[in-house]
Amino acid sequence: MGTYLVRRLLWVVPTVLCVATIVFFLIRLGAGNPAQAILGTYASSESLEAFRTTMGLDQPIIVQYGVYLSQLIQGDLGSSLITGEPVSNQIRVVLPYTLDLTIGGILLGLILGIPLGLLMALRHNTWLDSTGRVLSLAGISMPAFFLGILLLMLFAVRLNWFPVSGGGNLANLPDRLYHLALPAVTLGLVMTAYITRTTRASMLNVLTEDYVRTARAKGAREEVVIVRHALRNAVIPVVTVCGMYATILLAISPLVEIVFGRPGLGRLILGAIKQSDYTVLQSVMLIYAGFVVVINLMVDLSYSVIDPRIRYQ
Amino acid sequence: MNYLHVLRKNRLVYFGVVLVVLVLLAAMFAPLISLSDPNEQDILGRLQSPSAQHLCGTDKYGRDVLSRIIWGARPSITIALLSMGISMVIGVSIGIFSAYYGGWVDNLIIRFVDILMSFPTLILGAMIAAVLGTGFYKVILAIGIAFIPRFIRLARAPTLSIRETVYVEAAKAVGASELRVLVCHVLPNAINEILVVGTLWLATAIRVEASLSFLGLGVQPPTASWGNMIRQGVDRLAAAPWLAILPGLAVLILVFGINLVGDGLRDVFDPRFQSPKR
Repeated sequence: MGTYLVRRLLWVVPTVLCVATIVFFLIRLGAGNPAQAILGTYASSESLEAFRTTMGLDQPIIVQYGVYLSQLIQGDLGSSLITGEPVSNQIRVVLPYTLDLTIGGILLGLILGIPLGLLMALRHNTWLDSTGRVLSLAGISMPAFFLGILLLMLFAVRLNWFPVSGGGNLANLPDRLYHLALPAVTLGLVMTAYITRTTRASMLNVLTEDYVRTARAKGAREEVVIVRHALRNAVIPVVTVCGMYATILLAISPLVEIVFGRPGLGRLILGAIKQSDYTVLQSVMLIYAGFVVVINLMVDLSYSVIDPRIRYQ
Repeated sequence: MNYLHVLRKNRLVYFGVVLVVLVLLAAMFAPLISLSDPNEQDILGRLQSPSAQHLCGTDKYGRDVLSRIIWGARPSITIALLSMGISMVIGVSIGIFSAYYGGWVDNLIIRFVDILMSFPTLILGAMIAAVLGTGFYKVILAIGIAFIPRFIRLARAPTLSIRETVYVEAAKAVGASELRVLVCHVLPNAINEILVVGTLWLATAIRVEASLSFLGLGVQPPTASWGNMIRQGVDRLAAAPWLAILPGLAVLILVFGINLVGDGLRDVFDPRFQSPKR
């Protein structure tokens, strides 16, 4: 287990470097012209040139890449081309909002999705199962921002129960949760749809297994059979897809942030895209990649907790 | 025949087909059914709620929302089809070649694909859209490129098993060229699975397109697309909720329809495993 962990952690380094390289070159090869975008269409060619020199954009791309990598290895993400502020500061400000949102969505999805999926599997081919299947399929078909808009309309605009926009005060927990509620429920419902379907399918598979029949045959109570024998095995694929869906939630969080006017990584990256702010763009992409790597790592490690049969060499 | 039999039992698949066909017909015959020009402005009649004259109301420029929804189906469907076509051709070619020949190139490709696939399609698409710029054709490219790693992965699995079959060995034994083996033996045997999953990814592609347009990275106004209509509607949720809700429903209907069909197909091809993986 220890060596496995170390090997997995070491593998993170080349992965992140590879992503950094891909992102760097993709962005530099792009059509964007940050100097023009920042100084405006009417900027003189001298001021454009001066800007490029200060920002190091006039250097050959390989030199820029070298500078970028060496800074990155020292943990320096560079400064925003627009504001000159260190990118790490900008990220530190908005990161808690995105983490709140994504983690809230995942938790909600697990809390609602696993029992629902379990219930549907136990009531296989009844009206409850069919209704659940159609609803969960509708849930994964629904663009997240549309679901967000519907919730916003109903609970914020019409009923006035929740704020229409903003991220709330991070230091003030009730206010933070108050602002988090609707966006997190939006992501949570999407997650619930995924988790319900996976739990149901996985549970249906497990319920036909021999060990479930054996458990019943030896006279175990039905609850024990379901929870200890069936559910524990059925949850393994749920954990795998949970990691995958967590990255999907991360991907749709910008849409939700826009709908609810919430600060976050998504808003930061969209702003950077529109303003051709290379440094912010590549840094936020890198943060996303880091998240994905960490989520995958956590999924792998959680297997051995859930399923003692899995031992890492 | 067996497949058709199973499909026939599944009413939801029919429902899905009906939804998809309705949307496709509406998009195809848009010039015939939409009552007015989707870009015709009527400033005096702006922000009207749905009425007999404007079934879905009008937007902030007084344009008929129903016409815009019907016309908006066109970019969504075209972009989804073309981007899937591009990525299928490129991804499947790379996937089949790479899996068939194996070796270090295959290793390198699969590592690269794995890294790219760790990004959700939307993020990858947004990044590529950011690099390429916005507009109809660039969105097609952005979504197309974002899906290539998935198609490479998808094409690899069947190729790896087909490579070992007797008929491939036989074809080689009678002196068929490598290209002939790939095109006449490997591809036709792998393509069914690829096409089914590829069709399902259309649903994802439509949602990604709507999301990109919603973020302002996709189809640009004044051309109507569902995503950018929703975006414009969000600013007026309190006064004119139909502006955001109706195009949103359109996306939901189409994607839901495709997913219903996909779910049914999956039950047919693999009744034991009803995976929601997308």
